[in-house]
Amino acid sequence: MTGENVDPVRTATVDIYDDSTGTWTTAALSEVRGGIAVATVGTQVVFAGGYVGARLNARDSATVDIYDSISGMWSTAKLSRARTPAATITVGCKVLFVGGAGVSSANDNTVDIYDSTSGHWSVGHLGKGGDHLAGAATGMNALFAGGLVPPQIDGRVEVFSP
Amino acid sequence: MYDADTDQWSGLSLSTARSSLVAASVGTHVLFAGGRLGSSNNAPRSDTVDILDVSTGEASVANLSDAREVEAVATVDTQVVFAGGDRRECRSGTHCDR
Repeated sequence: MTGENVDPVRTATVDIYDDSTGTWTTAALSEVRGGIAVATVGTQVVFAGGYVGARLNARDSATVDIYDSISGMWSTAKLSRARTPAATITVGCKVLFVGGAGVSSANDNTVDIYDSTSGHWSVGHLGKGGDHLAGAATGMNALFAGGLVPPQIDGRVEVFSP
Repeated sequence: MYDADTDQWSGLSLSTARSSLVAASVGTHVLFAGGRLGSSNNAPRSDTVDILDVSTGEASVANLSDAREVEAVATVDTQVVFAGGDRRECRSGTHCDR
């Protein structure tokens, strides 16, 4: 954020480059938004959450767009809660969209779990706060560390098994 | 310029100077896409994609379909996906983004 009182004019445009053919194709996100969390899992790319609208009247988005690179098809889903996820971790065939904050919610410990093999979504929760934390995959688990639970900063590390 | 004998790069530059661009690699290629053609928030956006082949040192240029600062980029298999972004910025409350 800068001191300038300006809002971005966003676009839903998607450009896809295929290195095997050197060709470009286009697509579009189902909803124009900023703050999107993105993850690659298997043959898919998942674009989750974010916010919609100008800064003064922005609202959180629960929209998920899923691109399958083999079929070239797009599908949509919803996060359990509209927000900009704070961390996105791929663990095996699953993607975890963790915590985050939104326009209307400060701290959130929700973990939305997408299984790319079944297409199934489930919801978990961290024991710790889920905002401004860092996460990394280790084997079939994810480790989450630190974060902010206003006004406290958090030194805990949590192991999460999806 | 890439010298295959010494495995050294020299004098590399983008085809167009810009900031707030995104980068991704796929196969032997590195792609630098979009961004801002100036230092201010409302600088014009770029549709340029610089593609560098790190195996040959050859550089080529492609274009996004929409000049923008790309929101999200991901590599999957042989593909790179450049999703969303912003075309420019405008003063809050002026509804120039409608």
